[in-house]
Amino acid sequence: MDFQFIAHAFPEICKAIPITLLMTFASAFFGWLLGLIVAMVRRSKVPVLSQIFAVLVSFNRSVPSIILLYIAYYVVPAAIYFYAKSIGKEIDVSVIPAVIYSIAALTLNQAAYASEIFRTSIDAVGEGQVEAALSVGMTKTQAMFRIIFPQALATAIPNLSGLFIGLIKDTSLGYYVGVYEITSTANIISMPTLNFIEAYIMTTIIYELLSFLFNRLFGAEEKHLTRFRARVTA
Amino acid sequence: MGITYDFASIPGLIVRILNALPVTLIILFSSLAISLGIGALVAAGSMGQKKGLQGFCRGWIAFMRGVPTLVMIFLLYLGLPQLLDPIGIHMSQWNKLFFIITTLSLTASANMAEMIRTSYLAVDKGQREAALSVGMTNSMAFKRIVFPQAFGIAIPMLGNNMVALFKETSLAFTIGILDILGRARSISSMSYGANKLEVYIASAIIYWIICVLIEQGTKALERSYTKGRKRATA
Amino acid sequence: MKYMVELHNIKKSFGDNHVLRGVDLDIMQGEVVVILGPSGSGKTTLLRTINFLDPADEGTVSVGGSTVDSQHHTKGQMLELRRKTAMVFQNYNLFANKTILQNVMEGLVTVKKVPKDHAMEISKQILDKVGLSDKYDFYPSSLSGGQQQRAGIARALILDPDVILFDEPTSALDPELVGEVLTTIKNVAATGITMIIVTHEIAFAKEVASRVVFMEGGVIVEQGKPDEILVHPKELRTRQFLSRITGEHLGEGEEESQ
Repeated sequence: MDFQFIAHAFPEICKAIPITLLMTFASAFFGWLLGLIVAMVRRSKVPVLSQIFAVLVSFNRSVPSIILLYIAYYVVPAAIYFYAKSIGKEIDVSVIPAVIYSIAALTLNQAAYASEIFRTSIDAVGEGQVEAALSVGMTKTQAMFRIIFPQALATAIPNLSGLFIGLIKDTSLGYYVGVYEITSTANIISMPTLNFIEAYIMTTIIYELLSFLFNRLFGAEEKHLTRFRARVTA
Repeated sequence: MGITYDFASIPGLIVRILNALPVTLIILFSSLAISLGIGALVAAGSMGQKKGLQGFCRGWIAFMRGVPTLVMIFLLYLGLPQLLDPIGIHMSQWNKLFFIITTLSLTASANMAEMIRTSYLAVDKGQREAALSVGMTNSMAFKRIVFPQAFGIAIPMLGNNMVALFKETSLAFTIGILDILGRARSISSMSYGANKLEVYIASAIIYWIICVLIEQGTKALERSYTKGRKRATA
Repeated sequence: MKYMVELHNIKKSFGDNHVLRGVDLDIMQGEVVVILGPSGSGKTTLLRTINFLDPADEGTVSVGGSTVDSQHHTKGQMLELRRKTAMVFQNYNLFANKTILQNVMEGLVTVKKVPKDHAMEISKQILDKVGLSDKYDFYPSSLSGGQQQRAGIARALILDPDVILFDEPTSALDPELVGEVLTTIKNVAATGITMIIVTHEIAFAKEVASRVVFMEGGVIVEQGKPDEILVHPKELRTRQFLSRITGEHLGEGEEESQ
């Protein structure tokens, strides 16, 4: 075990944590928001759009993240370039940081999974809750926001937690699409000196710590959101 | 940007890439079988009496769920040989498939363990009690009454895990294996990197179709399991 | 306005099943109308057409002077009806993610835009009246069925509706809890508010109803004062139903007198 290497490499790898977190939070934020919209559209059975969404969701859940990242890596810059051209501007896409493309891909991936989670958790809220809300004269929107969503969120949190941790792990693929996140950094640092064991043990520890931290956070949030539920005593 | 895309080549690419399907399937089914085996042991241990074993199994599940598969691959492929070289085991000569199957079996074993645990616990305790009361032994009760019901409950989860595992096999290319994605990339590099996007789209389509097939198969299995019953569960 | 609630020619089908075949019902203010009938008779469906939870296919619904056509109505009209009615559900349907006090306040604050402080005050008063003064900050999941239903009644009452609709309010309760809820409903009736109750509790109907309506097969078979219908029913179908429920053989009016 080369401790000199560890002392030198560890801080370097840690410097990549912010970009990993950036990828994670950005993709989760936009992805889950998009997923909620998709879930609502599909539940309301909006013609044409629901079917299109169903297909897109299926695609994004079936294709491995690495392939989605690669496709975004080629498609997004081209799309930006051609869109800019169409409104008369010439953009040099090579200055756009690669992390943007990864976030785009992961956002769509997250949206697909999140939409399914939201669909099932909203459906799981008993119909009686909606009826009671309507019977006191609430509009459908009021009923959704005040009664349905809070209960659906409580059901969804465990799944969302798993989805989030999965997202953190997916960011490790950034290496292949030009993002210098945790795993890439570990790779690059250990290549010249072949200190693979040290590098990857450190990397594993860092990911495990992140996973542990967020599991705790989500667990606490779940406890808070489900405080209205009956506590199982036995 | 002077790149042109030849989307018409995609169907042809799909056929060429599919030559590598057997490799992917070997990885998939080997990992499936081994991860189920490990998962069963871990699940049993996590529900057992010995506190130490219980703790270890829970830790195993948490650990495997927190580490990215890519990191695990590097750890085992690059790191482990370094560790074992001094004691005379020269892993660098081993078949690469060994590494990917081991990695995937380990990481998937956590989800398998959770699946087995959840479905086992979901079977009503009264079922086992009734079985014992008619004179069955513990193992008979398990084989004839509890396991079949647990299996029925597990079918959807098994389907999800299979899809996830199948997607994970896509990382085999990182250690030079010519599975679906590996073959796709080698086709592209053989034409001097000309049709990068096309091969990724072709691979995506292949993964998509196979995932849909797995999902359909799972639903069919669920249906046949529910013959004459209201649900696949008790 | 002559009648508080008017239902004209209410028809509803679920696929091939004609659950309501043209029902007419006029209810005056202050009446307590109990609707009886076998399962499948359409009594619950009829109730739910009044607040448009299951809008009728045909027919008009009037509450407190506002008339809405089931076939051609706007969202606004539907909302108006819902704000003039309140419902007590068989499964209580208290808002699971809100405390008892919040449940009662919810309609006031969100729908009637009553200021929060005032809403809290009158909600507490009503909860005291139904005997839940020690349960303000409890969640429904920790209350018994009887307590939850009483809270549901409070939630309906506080909205000061033109009519309260009760959909089998005691059917889901354990027997020993039925009494407390029936007492609460009796107290509500004593306030003079218009009530429509779908129930199986014949003895209760005798006590509290000002009119009893018997439904079967999607139509009203007969209706009248409780004494008339429950003790001397005119129609054979009514008699058969009642004798099945009560296990008694009711006086066969005409035959007896012969």
